[in-house]
Amino acid sequence: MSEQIRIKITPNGEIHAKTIGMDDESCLDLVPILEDLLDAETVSSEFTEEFLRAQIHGKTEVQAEVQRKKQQITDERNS
Amino acid sequence: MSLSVFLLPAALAITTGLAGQLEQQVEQGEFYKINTNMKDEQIMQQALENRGNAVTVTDDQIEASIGKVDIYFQRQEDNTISAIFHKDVAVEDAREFIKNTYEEYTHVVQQNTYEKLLQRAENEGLVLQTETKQKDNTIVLTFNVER
Repeated sequence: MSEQIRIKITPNGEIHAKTIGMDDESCLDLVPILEDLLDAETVSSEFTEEFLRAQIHGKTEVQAEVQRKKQQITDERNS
Repeated sequence: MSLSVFLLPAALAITTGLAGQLEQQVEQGEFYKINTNMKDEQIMQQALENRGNAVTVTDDQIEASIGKVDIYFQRQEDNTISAIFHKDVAVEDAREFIKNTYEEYTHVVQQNTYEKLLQRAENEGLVLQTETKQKDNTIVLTFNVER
């Protein structure tokens, strides 16, 4: 199955994105990319049940992982 | 599916609820102020014009006119824009005006977000596969991720 991302833009301006076919943590790399693409800020994020079945992670770890990935990308850009 | 993300464009203030745009009304002498979630002056100007209001932009504020009624918009410390009404304007009318302006504002935000995404996606390895519009006018775009 190919890796995809589905982005919904609602009439009230909200943006909801869901990755499809990504069962590893590389999907977190897309969060800062989406923020840049859309000039937007992440309000919340969580792994879906499908991912949780494939990985042993809790929702509470997602924000920390996203922050870590964002910092990593910022560091790479600055170096 | 693996990750679900909720984002808000920079043009909108993050609040505990999007309905919060009308939550505060502050008296200021002859005038009163209604706070909003709107942050982008250009989009606000476009929204006001789209709704047929005459709009004047100066260095520090936007002024809109409906007939003989003038409404002023001023940026607040939290970077949101508040609307200032004369006390002769009924509060319910003011709230209705802000509600309608906000609806148009978010419509412009939606369009801007959509256009930005289509322009920039391919550079980030996102290749558009499908595009649909739902009954509620939500735009749904599915991209292949090539990396």
